Amino acid sequence: MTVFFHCRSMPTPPEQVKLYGIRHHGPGSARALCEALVAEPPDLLLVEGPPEVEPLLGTFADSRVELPVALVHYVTDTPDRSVHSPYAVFSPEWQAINFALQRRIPIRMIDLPLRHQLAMGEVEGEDQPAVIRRDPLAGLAAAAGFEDPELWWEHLVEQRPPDITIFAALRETMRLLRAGTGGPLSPLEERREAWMRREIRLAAGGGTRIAVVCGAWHLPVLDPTDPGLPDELSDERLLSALPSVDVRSFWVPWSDRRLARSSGYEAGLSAPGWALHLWESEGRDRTTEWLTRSAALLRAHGHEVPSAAVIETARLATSLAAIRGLTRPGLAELSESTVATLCGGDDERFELIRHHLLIGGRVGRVPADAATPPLLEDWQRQCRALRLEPQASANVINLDLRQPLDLRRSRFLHQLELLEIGWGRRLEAARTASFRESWSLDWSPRVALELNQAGMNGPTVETAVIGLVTRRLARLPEMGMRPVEITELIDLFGRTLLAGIGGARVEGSAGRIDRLIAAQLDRLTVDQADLRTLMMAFPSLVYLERYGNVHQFDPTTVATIVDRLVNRISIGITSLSWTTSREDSGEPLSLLEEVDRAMSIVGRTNRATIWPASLRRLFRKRDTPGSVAGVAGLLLWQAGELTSEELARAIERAFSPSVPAAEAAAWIEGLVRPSSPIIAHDHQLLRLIDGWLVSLDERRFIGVLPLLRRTFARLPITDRHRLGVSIAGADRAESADLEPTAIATCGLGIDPDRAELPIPILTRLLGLALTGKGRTDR
Amino acid sequence: MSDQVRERPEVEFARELRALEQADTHPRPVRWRLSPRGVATYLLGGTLPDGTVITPKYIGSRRLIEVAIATLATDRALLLLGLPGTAKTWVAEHLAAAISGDSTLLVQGTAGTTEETLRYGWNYATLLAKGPVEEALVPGPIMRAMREGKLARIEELTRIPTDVEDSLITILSEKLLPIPELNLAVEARKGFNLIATANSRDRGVNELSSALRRRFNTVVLPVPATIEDEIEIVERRVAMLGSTFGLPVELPAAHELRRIVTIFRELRSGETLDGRTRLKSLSGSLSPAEAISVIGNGLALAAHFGDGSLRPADLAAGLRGVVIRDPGADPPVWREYLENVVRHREGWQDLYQALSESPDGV
Repeated sequence: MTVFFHCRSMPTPPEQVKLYGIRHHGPGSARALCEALVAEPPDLLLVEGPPEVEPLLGTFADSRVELPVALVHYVTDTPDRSVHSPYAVFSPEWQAINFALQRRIPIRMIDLPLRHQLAMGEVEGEDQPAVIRRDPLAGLAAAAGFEDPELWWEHLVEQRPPDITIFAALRETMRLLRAGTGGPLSPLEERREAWMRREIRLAAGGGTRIAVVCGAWHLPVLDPTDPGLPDELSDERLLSALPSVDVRSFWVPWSDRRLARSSGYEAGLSAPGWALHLWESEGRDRTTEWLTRSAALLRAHGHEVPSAAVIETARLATSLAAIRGLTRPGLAELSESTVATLCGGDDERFELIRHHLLIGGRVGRVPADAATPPLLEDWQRQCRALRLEPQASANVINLDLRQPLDLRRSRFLHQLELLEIGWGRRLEAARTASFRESWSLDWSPRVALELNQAGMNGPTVETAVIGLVTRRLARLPEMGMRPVEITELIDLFGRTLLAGIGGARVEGSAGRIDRLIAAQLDRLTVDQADLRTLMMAFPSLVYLERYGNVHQFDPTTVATIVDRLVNRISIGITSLSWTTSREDSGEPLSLLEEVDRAMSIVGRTNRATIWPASLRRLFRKRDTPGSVAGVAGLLLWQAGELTSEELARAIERAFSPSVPAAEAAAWIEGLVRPSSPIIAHDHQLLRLIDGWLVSLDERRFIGVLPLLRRTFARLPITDRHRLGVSIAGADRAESADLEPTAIATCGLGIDPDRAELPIPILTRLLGLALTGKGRTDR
Repeated sequence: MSDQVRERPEVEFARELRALEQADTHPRPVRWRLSPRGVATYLLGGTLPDGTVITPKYIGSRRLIEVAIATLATDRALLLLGLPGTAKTWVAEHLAAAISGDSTLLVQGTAGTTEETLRYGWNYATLLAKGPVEEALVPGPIMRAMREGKLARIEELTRIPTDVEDSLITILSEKLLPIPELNLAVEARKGFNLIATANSRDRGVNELSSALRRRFNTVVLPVPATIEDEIEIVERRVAMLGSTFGLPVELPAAHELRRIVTIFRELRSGETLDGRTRLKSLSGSLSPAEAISVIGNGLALAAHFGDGSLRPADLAAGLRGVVIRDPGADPPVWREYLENVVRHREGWQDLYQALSESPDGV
């Protein structure tokens, strides 16, 4: 460490310009900065930040503001090009600006204006500076063996000789570091530093005492008197003819979660909650306090945590710090000790601490007059472009998705629907794969309010939707949430695809939304142990894949999941335990039918070849419940996968004397399903059953008769009639001149069981005799 | 070369330990042979100033090992938890060897472990002849460790019946072992501590009482973090196996090792290495130790029944045996994995053939 202080002699900046290099969001930096400012209050404060912030500075002192908050800057014409700069209470910039506002010290933001930065097409978020540039102090800390940069900072502050300020030492360190990690600056960074130098030059002179607050990385290049730096002339040359765009800025509430690096914010913190704790627990015993809070949290979640365990954790952390040569435990030591003692080695318990304490759950607040979300503007612009008139009374529009304009409208309306903005409402069920869509549009002042609120998610409708979906996705695997339903996710998936944002990039990562959801879905479908749930989800996925044609999105993401599910269901279905109680059997049977229907859709593209084989196994397996085997038989038969010989043999087998009557009944009931009475239309199937029945001797016939009667009694009356006619016709018996259609019409909406009751009497009254060897069902 | 099947670590690595002892300048807790940092170097490997190379005994997280050592330095007992085959015993043994120079003070926990095993027994002949005198006392390993100020080890702590386990409470909290028959008590000397290991899949066997649990710091040894780590572990151990059993076979090619380790890691973590595909999980633990035994088994097959070089078919049988632990639930998962992953992976066709040829019982 000490190497940083034995520095070679360096040119000292003129007395009146003080450079304070900080670590963004570093509580230690913030504290040192506050102390320095109090000790030597400047006449002018310069802060590394775009000048666009200046008109909005009032918010820094607004007592109604609850941190964290962020400034969002966006290009007026293309609001999806935006940057955000978050502030927490422990952000050095926040503290410095607050200090200056309280003391009425003028403030100037000296970074390259965003109107140029955004025009240059590069913004901090996109060009992804290497870690060392983003957070050079963390890099140095790591090199010095500190996992917690704040701990290293303290170490630095505590060990520094009294006559050298920490900032001077830092400056020299950064000089060495920049020399060591050379390599050309990006054009943007070069210009930013030139701009900052220019601003400092402009402000300096005249005996004004100036404090400059900037990221530590920039420290060595901002001293206007340093002869080793580019001079005024070359800076001016660099800064001439910069491109420019119109930029607007507004405040939005932010949250701990979005401050965290895991949310994709590049300059984020690994543990915002810890940083806040460091800031707040200044001057107190922060180890004990942190561990006490951890223990309280665990207790609140029902874990047994005695005080003795807290003491042991503190002891272990201290001893661990000693082994690592640290003067006191940092976050890493505390966390590791907490896992070993408080959590008893249980990672899930530590996950609670990570979630609630390390990251934290605070959400900021911005007074309404400070926030002017541009979403409303974007909405109006899009409405104009898509020729959608906001009207106060409901009007219905019909869209033809083959028309490009209508497709864009549909996407826009679906986006608004995802944002829960109650303007447009789809009129028909969402699962049709037709080219037509009807929407009812109904504007009310509430819509404006909702648009205002949705502005928190992003400056345009599209970015807001993307932001919303991103966050909803990020929340999915969180602790303590109720388990996500696969169907819910499929719904979200469908809606994102319809909104046309499937191909958009997820905020803060390079992943596409559809791939991300697909991955999540994949995860869920794999974790889902219950095959039945998968079978329920499967058809909607298949239909989703089919949407692709109509809505022009890339269905390949779904296709891979569908393919996997095809395998999974096909393999798993033979070992699935079916509910066999007769009363419950209806539902799994129709599930099987639905899956089969979906499989046949998939099968059209020749991707589900494994399914018929599985169905066949199911059909053949000895321990498959009768009704399931029956349905499987029916499905195979319909698909032409069974020969009539095979089916005939199966029927015989099902009614073998050794098979219990109930089982045989279930089997035939599966084959002759009331919901799909194929038998009434399929003469070949009918002949098979008929042939088998005729071949029975009297004793067996009497034995199976009640089962058959029961089965066929469940068929709708029209089908029964048709059956009767076919059998009668086949036997050339004089029979039914009764018009089938007459019965068909009166059969509708009538409880067949009750309607059956008077039929025997009716037939007798009417003199009808449906004879046919006395074995028609009635 | 010694004649023992396996040598105790303090003997096998005596040279390294001596060198460390000489080079170690950091303060040592009372009766520790090495300083905590020295112990960490012994376990994790390194090079001493005099050029002695310390082989790594444990390949994995330095931080975990540091937590374990710091625990022992605070006189709290250490509980190593982990799936089977994650080197718990291995770490415990080496810790004892490095800290006390003695890894033999060991109690193997079983359902039949009694309080006598944990505390002390009697020499009944002496007891009958002379009555309860100190001479008749037969100290157990833990009592010896207390007297000598050394580390004692308990293997498979959770297999010990709960009421017997609880006799450890006084030892751990008071550092005292009362002998009521003699109206005496053995007080632990400095340097005494206890390392227990337990299988995290076995937790249900005998849940540790919370009173006992509180007296342990728990370190969970994970499965290897990266595939490179795991390949290194498997490679080192397979090489040792080869030399121990004198197998006249060439060691498996790097890509073969990688394939086996990949299969183990994917099935264990429930997703493919590229993170694109999630997999269902199996009932077995698929530890590195099992990967080592699959390869060892394959090597033996190749050496004695094959042409001396390891082929996929030699691995298939062993692999199946390890993967399918629950004949009901595992085969479909395995089949799914074969169909969805192995089959489509480039250059894995031979493996797929070999693996899918074995009957899968679905």
